[in-house]
Amino acid sequence: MPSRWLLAPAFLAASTSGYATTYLSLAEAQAAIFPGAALTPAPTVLTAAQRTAIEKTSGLRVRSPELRAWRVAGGGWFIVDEVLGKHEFITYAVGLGPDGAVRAVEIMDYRETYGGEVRNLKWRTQFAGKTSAAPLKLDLDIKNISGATLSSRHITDGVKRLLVTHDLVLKKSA
Amino acid sequence: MPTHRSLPALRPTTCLAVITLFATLLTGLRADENYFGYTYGSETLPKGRWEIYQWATSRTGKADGSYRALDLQTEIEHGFTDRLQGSLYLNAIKHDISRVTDFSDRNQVRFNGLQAALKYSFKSPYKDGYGLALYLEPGYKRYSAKSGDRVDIFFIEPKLILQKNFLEDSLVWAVNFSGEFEREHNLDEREWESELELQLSTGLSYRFAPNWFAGIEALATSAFERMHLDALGEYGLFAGPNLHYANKKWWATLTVLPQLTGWPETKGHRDLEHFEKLQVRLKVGFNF
Repeated sequence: MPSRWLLAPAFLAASTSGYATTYLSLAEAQAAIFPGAALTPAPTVLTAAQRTAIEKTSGLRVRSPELRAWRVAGGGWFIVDEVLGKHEFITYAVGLGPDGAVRAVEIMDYRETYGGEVRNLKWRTQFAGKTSAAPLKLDLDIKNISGATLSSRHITDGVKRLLVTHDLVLKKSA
Repeated sequence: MPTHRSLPALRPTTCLAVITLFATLLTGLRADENYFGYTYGSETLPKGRWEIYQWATSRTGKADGSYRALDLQTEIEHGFTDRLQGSLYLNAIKHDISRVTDFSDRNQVRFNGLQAALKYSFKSPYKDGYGLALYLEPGYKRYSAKSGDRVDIFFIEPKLILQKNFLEDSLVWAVNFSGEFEREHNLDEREWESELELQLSTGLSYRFAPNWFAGIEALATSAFERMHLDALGEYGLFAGPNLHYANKKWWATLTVLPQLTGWPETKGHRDLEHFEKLQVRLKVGFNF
């Protein structure tokens, strides 16, 4: 029988809990990317065919069919998405201009031990102007952050997936 | 009976109190994670980060009598660069043995030496498609892990670490191959012996919910006398489940490994002279 000593750290572990850090609320993220603009909710549920097409084009898995999107007055989209962090989900927002290019990326919730450097403006600015035609690959057109590689890659993949989603779904619904 | 002078034995309750106090003091700190109890992943700590682990490995069950051993390791780890990390381990060992053939009865907890380690990551599983790291661990131990007899053991253990992630890094597969070159001084017989221990371990773990991973792990270990590959002394194969939990502050991993088979067979198809029926390892890590 395993030693009862092994139970001590387990009890200790059970007595604590994790916490999340919210950097931006929904309203704050919208205002940061589209200051003063009117945004209209446009929630979208992707069909099976659309998910398949997005996955085939982007090479990335679509985890959820539900798309949290807002239409921006005068053109453009605001999308809130989640990607896997090492432990939990990273919530981020992407703003797309009328031309379908990335206007900005904002990190809303980050719950990981390491990798918080993805919040740095300099790193996020790399996405500005990217379209679905961009490679969006670490060390190719997006610089990796040493020590934050998992978060860097998953957010980069997430932006790529949303750009393809815009091309194949949102742009056609406009 | 050994004629050397040994350190005073520690009371089990004292050890438990020290471990619990130690962990409690660190509870407010942040954490990273190991997915497996025995198999190492290829990642290293980011530059400038520190991590403290507490390991506890229970080894129980021989062919007869009562055998309970507990290996305690406290490890402090530091990221020198984003690819190179160093570690220092302090070890303690407990044996509670009675009426086991060829083993002396004993019930004691002792300080069991220390070791250092360097790990260098060549490839990242998140960026390069697979992870590759090399690990080197020299060390010194004061007691035989099996019998609890007083010995001096000097060893060096190089390890090759491979890791491959699937499903957006929610499924992790790691493989380790290591060789431990060991020189042991038997203080009773005043003899030096050499041994080579080769180990292959692998683990597969899946994130089934945020913060939680579960999977399986297997460990094959063999020892060669005089470091000659044609002088196999024993081997054992262990496999079982592992469970891992991590959040921003700390992580814990529990692995349960029963012995599936071993040689030379002492009871059924297992080797219960050199290995135990069951190994259970708990690792808890805190970062700062």
